[in-house]
Formats: sequence, structure tokens, C-alpha cells
Amino acid sequence: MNEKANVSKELNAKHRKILDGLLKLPENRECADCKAKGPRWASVNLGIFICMQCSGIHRSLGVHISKVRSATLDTWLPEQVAVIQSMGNEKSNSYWEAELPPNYDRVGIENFIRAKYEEKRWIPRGGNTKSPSRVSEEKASFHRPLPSSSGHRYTNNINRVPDVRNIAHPPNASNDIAAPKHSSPATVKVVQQVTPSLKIQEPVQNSEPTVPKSEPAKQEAITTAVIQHKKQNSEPAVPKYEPPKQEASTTPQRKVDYATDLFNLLCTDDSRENDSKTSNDEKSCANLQSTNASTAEPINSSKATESKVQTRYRIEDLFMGSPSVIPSVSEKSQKDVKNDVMNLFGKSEMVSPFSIDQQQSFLAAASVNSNGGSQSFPINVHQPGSNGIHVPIQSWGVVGHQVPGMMMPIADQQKYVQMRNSQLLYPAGNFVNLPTSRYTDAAFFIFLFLICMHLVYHNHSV
Amino acid sequence: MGIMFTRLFSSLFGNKEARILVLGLDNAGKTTILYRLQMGEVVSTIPTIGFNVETVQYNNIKFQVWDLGGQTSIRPYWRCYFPNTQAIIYVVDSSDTERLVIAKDEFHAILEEEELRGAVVLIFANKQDLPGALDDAAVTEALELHKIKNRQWAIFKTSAIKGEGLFEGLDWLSNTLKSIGG
Repeated sequence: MNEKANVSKELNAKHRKILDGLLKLPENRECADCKAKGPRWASVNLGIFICMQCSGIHRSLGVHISKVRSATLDTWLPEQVAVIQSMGNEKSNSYWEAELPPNYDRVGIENFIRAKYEEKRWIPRGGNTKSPSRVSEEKASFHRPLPSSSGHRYTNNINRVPDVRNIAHPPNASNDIAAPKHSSPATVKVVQQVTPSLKIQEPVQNSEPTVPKSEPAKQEAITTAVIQHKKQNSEPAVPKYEPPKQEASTTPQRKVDYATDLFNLLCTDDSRENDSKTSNDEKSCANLQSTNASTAEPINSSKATESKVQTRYRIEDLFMGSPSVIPSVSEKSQKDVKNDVMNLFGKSEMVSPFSIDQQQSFLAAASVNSNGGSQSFPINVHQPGSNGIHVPIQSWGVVGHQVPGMMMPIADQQKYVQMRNSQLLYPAGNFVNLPTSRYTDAAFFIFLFLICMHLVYHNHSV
Repeated sequence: MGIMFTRLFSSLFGNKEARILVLGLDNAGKTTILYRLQMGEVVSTIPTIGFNVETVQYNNIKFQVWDLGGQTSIRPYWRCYFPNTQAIIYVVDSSDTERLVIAKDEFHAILEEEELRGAVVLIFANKQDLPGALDDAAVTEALELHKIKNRQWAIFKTSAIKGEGLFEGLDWLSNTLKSIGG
């Protein structure tokens, strides 16, 4: 029933290995769409590897065009692995970019991706019109009884008028994408068309993985080429993210392995937790919660100098006033970010909270300890040797891999900015979010308050 | 210092607050919904690794909305956020018919959780704007919502892109939370 359950741990590990191997192929070392280095996401029906930014755009196209999965965070089905094995970035682009002008400017990457896959603007004209995605979709699809429903109660107790009762089997999409084969005759036709070409593809699939994985000279050349490309493509819109990006592009191999290792670590632990639900899991959960709470609170309450606190709130107010700013922090990909706003972020928001955090790690540690038990993020629990320090804020700031699932070497830089900002912008939210009861909250706040008073007093007396 | 007292005070005697988790498979539209509710705009998103949290004030309730990443290997971490949760918003990509089975399994696994025993459940049959999206009846059937016992729930057809259905759902949520919260 649940196909995810059909993917055993062993199979999953095997898939991961295959995907790791594919990601090391020269053609897959850059995003199929924007050419960014080290893609870690994939479109399982198009059979391509893409970067996180482009994955966001692919997701917005809808699953009838592109089905996005993470190469590291998702469980893949055997069919999906087979598709991407037989396709890959090069082959896919030879179809989707067949008519693409050589020096096409990909600045508006969302428009580019939509033109490429939605409008099919650059697919080969005439001759071979077989869409590779058709093939892959067919391979990726599987039988599943489509829910057929009829008059049915939608809710158990609510005041809602069910307005539409016609039962919609997906009319267009299913035909188009060959998703549930049995849903309509038209779909079956698609399947028949596609099947022969599948067989043609099989040998290719077998031969491709045997491509020698490392030819140092060649790879080096490719890497430099990519870096050059990268420079051309680099967008000035989000200057603050440039340094990590550059770093990533210069040392791709090491980063990749690091991330993979980390991820494997996570995976094994992850599955163990899943199955046995060990107390470790429970503990880490609890720890995560209290850490969330305690990381946010000291920022507001503790020994931060008055001016810094004021800055923070000014900024916060500013954000409240112009809501469009908020996602632009979280969404690096947003193209309509106003430059002045970004400057604001770059100068004040991005810098001050971090420095405050660093200053306050001591206090955080204090409060955390007072809260009982040693605190750490779940991943920290699994990586006792990573840095040995279980101070949550330090872990966040320094390691950057401490949040569940944050395994993407490039993405996490921005992601934990995203998370930080979510928390920093709404410190009030974290206040009400302590996992303890309200009375404990109060006691905790009073405790923090006392620490503050103590520190203030101490500063004055010194 | 004053800020602290204000916070302390409001946390003890302030407005009604509710902690909401937005869950669902990856690419169901959780983040888009969160920001649509919070800012009334469609933002372009990237996959959420970790979480987003925003406060949404609606109908005199301050919803603290947690949007958690939905990738396979980070779903086990959802349970870290379960304690003290008043409501779950479960988001389904109605056009992703292939994965409705997985969506159903994850959904019922969530309902089994002891820590969520008191949480009401709001289901968003999202992406109604896409071709081939199942309607709420079909999603109800696919998720086997009729099996839900001892819990208040509702399903709404939504399109986060068009902004349809979201606040209707939030209306239901606020009414339900008020009625059970007294």
C-alpha cells in the first residue's frame, strides 16, 4: 500500500549510493537549469539534478510538470532512481534545450525554467518528438487505486456547505502526465506509446553508471569552467550570500563528501529512531524544544547592551511595517528584493543578532542548565564528537548543522538564516512557545530577569 | 526590562493564543500557505529544511503557526514539535494523486500520536488551481477522513496561490478552538 514502506533500509542505502555516484558524474555536478555547483535536489520525473533554488521553482510548476525530491533527504522509489540513472542532466538538456540559443542569458531563472519545461520553448522541432520526460514519468508512475468517491460527509461537526459533488478524476493532468494509468482510456494510450521507448532506453541506463568516476584532469577543467560560469551567473541581488557560495564552488568535492557523510550519519540515526523510538529520540525532542525556547529568550532579556536591544526592535518594527521583507529573508530566490532592504539586512539584521548570540552564549548556557539537563539539538546527540560543546547557540552559530535535517552544505547557510530570522523577528512567539506550563514560564522569566538584574548590577559596579 | 514585563504579563493574561503545526508531505504548499496567511502574499519558496514560524492574528486569536519541512527523512522530527499543540493544519497537494496514499499514511500516523490527542485537525486540499486537482470529497475519501474518531476536523479546498479557502479554514479553526477552549 504505502510504497515508501516498500523501500527497505538496505534498498534506500543502495539508492543513496547510486545517487551519490550519479551526483559525481561531471554532467550532474551542476544544476541542470542554472548551472549552480553541487545540486542536491532532483526532479524525479524529468530525471535531472537541480539546485535548491531551482527546486523551489520546479515545485511551483506543479507535479504534472516536475516532481521534486531531495537527493539526500527523501526516500526514492526504485523507478525514480532508474529514471534518473537513465536520464541525467546532459541527456535531459539535449532535449529540453535543443533549440536554446548558445549564449542565452539565464538571468530570470524562474522565467527560464517555466519557458523550458512549461512552454517547452526549446525542445527539438520536428523529427524526434519523444519527450524524455514522458518516458521518465511513465517509469516513475505506479499503480494505485484512485479514490473514487461519491456523496460523502466532509466534516463531522462543522457548518460547512459542500458545494461541489462531482467527483474529479484528474482529467487533464492524468492524461498528460500518465500518472494513474487506469484512470482513463486516454492515459492507457499514453502508456502504450511510451513503453517501447522505455526498452530502448534500458541499455543506456546500464552503460551510464560505468562511466569512470574520476579523471582528475578532466574534472579539474570542468570545475574551473563551472566556476567561471558561476561568476557569470552570480546574481548581485543577494550579496550577503556570496561568500559561502564562492567557497562552495571552489571546494566542491570536499563539501560534497562532508555533507554526504553527515547525511549518512543522520540517516542511520534517523532510521534507528524511527523504528525503535528510543529514548534518545524523546530526549532530543525535548531538548530541541527547550533549546528553541532558550535560544530566543536570552536575546531579548539578557546582558545585551541597551542600544543593541533597541536596534533589534527598530528593525523588528520596520519589518512589521513592510511585510514583504520577511520572506525575502527566507527566500533567497526572490528576485524582486529591494536592494535597500537587503542592505538593511546585510548591515544590521544579519550582523547584530549573530554577535549578540555569540556574546550571549554564556548566558544561554546558564539558562539552559538551569532549565535542567544538558541541552542539545538532536543531531548533536548523534554526533558526540562533532564539537563536544552542547551549548545550543554556539552549535548553531558555529557548526550550522545542528538543526534537524539541515544537511545541505550551501542551503543550510541560508536556511538557518531563515530559521534565525523567523525566530528573531518574532521573539514574542517563542515566549509563548515554551514547552512547559505557563507557571513554569513565569518562573523561568523571573529567573532570567534576576540574571539580567545581576548582570546589570555587576556591570555598573565594575 | 519593560519589554520583559510586558511579555511576561501578556503571556499570563493576554489574548487567546494557539499553537498550530502545519504538516504535510513535501511540496504540499505549507510554506506558501503560512506566508499567504501571514502577509497575504504569494512568496516564492524553496524547500523548507527545518521550519518556519510566524504569528498570525485572526479573530482575536493569536495563531503561532509552525511550518515544518516535509521531506521524507525530516518527517520523524515533526514529533519534536507536537507537545502543547492545539491544532494541526494538514496540507495535501490535491493534484499529486500518486502520493495521496503516502499523505494518508502520514496523516493517520500523526493522529495516533498521544501528544496530539487533543488537537483539532484542519485539512487543506491545496493546489486547487492546478489541473487535475482532486476536490475535497475525493481528498476526504483518499485520506480516509471518515476514520477519524473523537476529534474535530474539517477539510477545505484551498489554493494558496489564489488565496482561496485559507481564511475559511482559519475561521473554522478559531471558532472550534474558542468553543473547546471556553
